Amino acid sequence: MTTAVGLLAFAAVMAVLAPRALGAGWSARSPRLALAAWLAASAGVLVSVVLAGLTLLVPATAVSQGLAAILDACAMTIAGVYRSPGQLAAVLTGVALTAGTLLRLGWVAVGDMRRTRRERHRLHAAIATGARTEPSLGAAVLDSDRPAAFCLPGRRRSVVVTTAALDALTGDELAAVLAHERAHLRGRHHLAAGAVRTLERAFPGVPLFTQGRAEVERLVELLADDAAARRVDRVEVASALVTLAGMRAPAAALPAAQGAGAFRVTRLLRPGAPLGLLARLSAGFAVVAVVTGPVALATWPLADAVASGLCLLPGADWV
Amino acid sequence: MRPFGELEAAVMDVLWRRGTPATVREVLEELNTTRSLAYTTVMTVCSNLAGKGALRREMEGRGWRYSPTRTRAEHSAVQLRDVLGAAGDRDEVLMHFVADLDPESVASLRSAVEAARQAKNA
Repeated sequence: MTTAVGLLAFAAVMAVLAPRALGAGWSARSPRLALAAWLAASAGVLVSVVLAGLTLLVPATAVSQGLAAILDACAMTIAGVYRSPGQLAAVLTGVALTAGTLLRLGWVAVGDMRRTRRERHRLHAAIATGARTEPSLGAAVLDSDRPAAFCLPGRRRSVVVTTAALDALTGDELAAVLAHERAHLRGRHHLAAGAVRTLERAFPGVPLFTQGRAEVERLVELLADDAAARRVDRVEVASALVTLAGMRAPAAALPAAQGAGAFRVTRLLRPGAPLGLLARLSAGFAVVAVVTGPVALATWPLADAVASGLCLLPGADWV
Repeated sequence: MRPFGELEAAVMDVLWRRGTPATVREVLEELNTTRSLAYTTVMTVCSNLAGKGALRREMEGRGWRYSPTRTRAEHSAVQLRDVLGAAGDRDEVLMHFVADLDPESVASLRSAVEAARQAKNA
């Protein structure tokens, strides 16, 4: 019971406070670490809630006595449900937390995956017939008076640029754009972005998930910018951004996206120093801790009992 | 432009592969090598597609002959161009390069880029 409360408290604190720590200015200096931190914090909260539910279902004393005892404890729990109203409430809460979280997430995830795959399939087919492949660019070219470049991830991944973009960009700028898009594909950035979108959709209103979605979308752009800057040149990446953005219809622009675009350009022109070793190490430690911490907390009674030598894990005598 | 539904896509596919105008009966025969559809179903789909402007029809004898208004490649290109314009579900499927900038900041960012370029070449 104490374990469950502890796990839920951890989840609640993380869900509300983690966005503050992660949203700070350091994220742009080490986008890869920041991305890992957002994903780990989100996973940590999910794991905590699910484990909290599980610990309510299985009394901690039973876990320490091995598998047979768990099955026994299971029977006892069911029997106990009919005796004490307090126990029933704990079991119901446990089922609601564990099954509720997993089912909700699974339901939304499956729907998202289906929709994405269908849409991706359609666009791949459209690219195959509606755009011409340009082997010298390693990209498909689409006839359009709207300057744009995008990539479509998936097994048949492709980068598409429009003829208007080809006309507008210099050779170096075009190389920067293509390197940026290829970095998205190579880094499988769509997986991280897809995961946080699913989380936000499954559990709306949780600050960690809402801000996490926006931040991850921003961070993968920074990562792709950095990759392009390494391959081509940071000034050319910035230049390509300004060239393409400058040609777009202002009405289509969202205020939030405008700020993000200007930030990317200034960041490329004046890159901040990467985080120091100490800061990177402590952030890396935090990333590991937010996921392993809840697991350790939940399995502590088991580990404690094994260490004390009072009981054997099932199968431990085979070794 | 809305993407075609499953049956609409199948009808368009038949007509694009034929390359010549076809009657509903002919489309139906081709489709029914792999499935079993009613004549009226295919007739409805064809007239809907004509209503949407995807098919044109001309009277021949006692019935209509349908043919696509656009080639398959033209149709795909239109679909892709739609992707560039509209936000929405498709934004989740692909990743755009461009970030929007407000018109005022474009000029100042452009001069910042030029300054950086000169500093680099100097």
